Amino acid sequence: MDGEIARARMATAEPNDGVPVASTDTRSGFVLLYEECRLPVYRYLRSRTRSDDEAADLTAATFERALRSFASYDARQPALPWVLRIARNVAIDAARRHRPVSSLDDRSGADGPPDSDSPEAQYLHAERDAELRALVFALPDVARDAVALRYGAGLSAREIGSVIGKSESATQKLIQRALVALREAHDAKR
Amino acid sequence: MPSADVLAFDRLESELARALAWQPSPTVLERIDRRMREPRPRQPAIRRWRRPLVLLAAAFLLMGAATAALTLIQPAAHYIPGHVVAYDRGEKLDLTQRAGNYAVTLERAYGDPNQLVLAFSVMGPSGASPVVVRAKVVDAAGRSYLDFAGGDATDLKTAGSGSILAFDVPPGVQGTVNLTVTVDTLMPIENVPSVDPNPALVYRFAVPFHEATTVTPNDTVTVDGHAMTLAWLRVSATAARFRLDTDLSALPHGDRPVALLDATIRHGNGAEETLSWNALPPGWTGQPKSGIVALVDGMDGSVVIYQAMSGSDDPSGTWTIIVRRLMWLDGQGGQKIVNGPWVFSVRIP
Repeated sequence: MDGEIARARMATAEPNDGVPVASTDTRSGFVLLYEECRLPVYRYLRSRTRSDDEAADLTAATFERALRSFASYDARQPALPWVLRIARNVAIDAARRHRPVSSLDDRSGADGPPDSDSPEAQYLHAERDAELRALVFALPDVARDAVALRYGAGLSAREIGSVIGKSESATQKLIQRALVALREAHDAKR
Repeated sequence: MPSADVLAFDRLESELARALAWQPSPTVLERIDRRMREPRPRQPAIRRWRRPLVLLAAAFLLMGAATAALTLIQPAAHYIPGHVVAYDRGEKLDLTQRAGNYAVTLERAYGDPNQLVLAFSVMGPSGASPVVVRAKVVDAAGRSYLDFAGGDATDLKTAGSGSILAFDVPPGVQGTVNLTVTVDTLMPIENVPSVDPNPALVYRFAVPFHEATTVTPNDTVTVDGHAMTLAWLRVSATAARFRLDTDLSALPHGDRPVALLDATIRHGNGAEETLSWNALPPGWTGQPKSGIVALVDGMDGSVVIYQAMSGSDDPSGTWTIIVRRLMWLDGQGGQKIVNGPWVFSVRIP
């Protein structure tokens, strides 16, 4: 059963497995869910938005909606894909309100991942990160979602499929095609 | 030896993982936390997209399943046992209206004092995005019914969907009631242009409201100086609702306490049901949603209505409600817990 698998994953979760499972004990503990899912949700939404503030607002809106929806959350299922489904809907709603969406503004990307490398390496990484983010942002919506959920939120292909409404194999193909597109786009820039 | 392609993809994946691991600054985190502590009033312009208080927005990929959208109502209802009961016992209406290429059918309606439940199905054109239904309800007396729960299921292959919408029932509603349901939102599950009906779809029909059993114990239990009062319990076939008054004034919290219960409800020797359902306080019943500023019911006060996921046809016997602990945000970015238990035992003859 999926539920049982989900529970087992909770006990064996590794840091980047990133899939907290709200057990019966924590079901009423939305606060715990919030704390555990906040960062991956932000990362996913940040990959879809143009600024830190917009991502923060959508993250908050996601958890507001999740809190109202908490009654319908099946505690046997992993929490993160559930919250990310909501986040995706929130992002879609926001995109519909604010179309057209312009390209990613990386000047606001000062909150990128921390890096302990040398200043030169940090600069190169930052440049490369900005380039990759822009390429990801330019992907078709579903592909961008899949990439952001995979590499930003740390979901498996199966979990991503549950978020975007595709099968695991279709999701794997989608990600693979997205990687190819990203590499081609990157090569074309050189 | 791995090929150059594999190495290139490995590197690309590694770089993606780094590039997309956005690390929010403390300022950004505080912005999110603040929003959670101090939710904004709903804005009319965006309200319709936030209207459903409970959406599990589930996009089911039903590979190989029967393609009729009608079959999607069961998966939409299955999240909440009470909704399954409501659907099974609902009045069959089958009122269909069209919005563009979408056929929107109000299949069934069920009412009792704890909730009004509507079941919609939608059939879309092949290749289109499935859409899910959001609706407003008023009755012949002008009373509004606040939507607070539901579930959706969609089939990407057929552009079909099923939606269960549950609404709070204003006080005093009984017997057969004439309702007007307005569907002005058809929400695509994919990022495509809106297909909202214009003009809105309007369904008019009568639905009988089934009875419920209500007791008012007004029983207060105090643990470590924290008093909690069970004001009333109302049991219908689809849900058990009760009101708890909890005094949190002595506890540290932010500007608006968000108290969550780790609690269960049990009927007789039946199984314990974990409570996670915050229903709407009576004071808000029927009010426009723009007037609701609270993120979760009771967060700006101490009165909360809870609703179990299922009800009972025979509520007689002992109902036991156990609140094991309270959890809330302390306003400092932390979580606080007060351990109980507060135990309430209510007998319904």
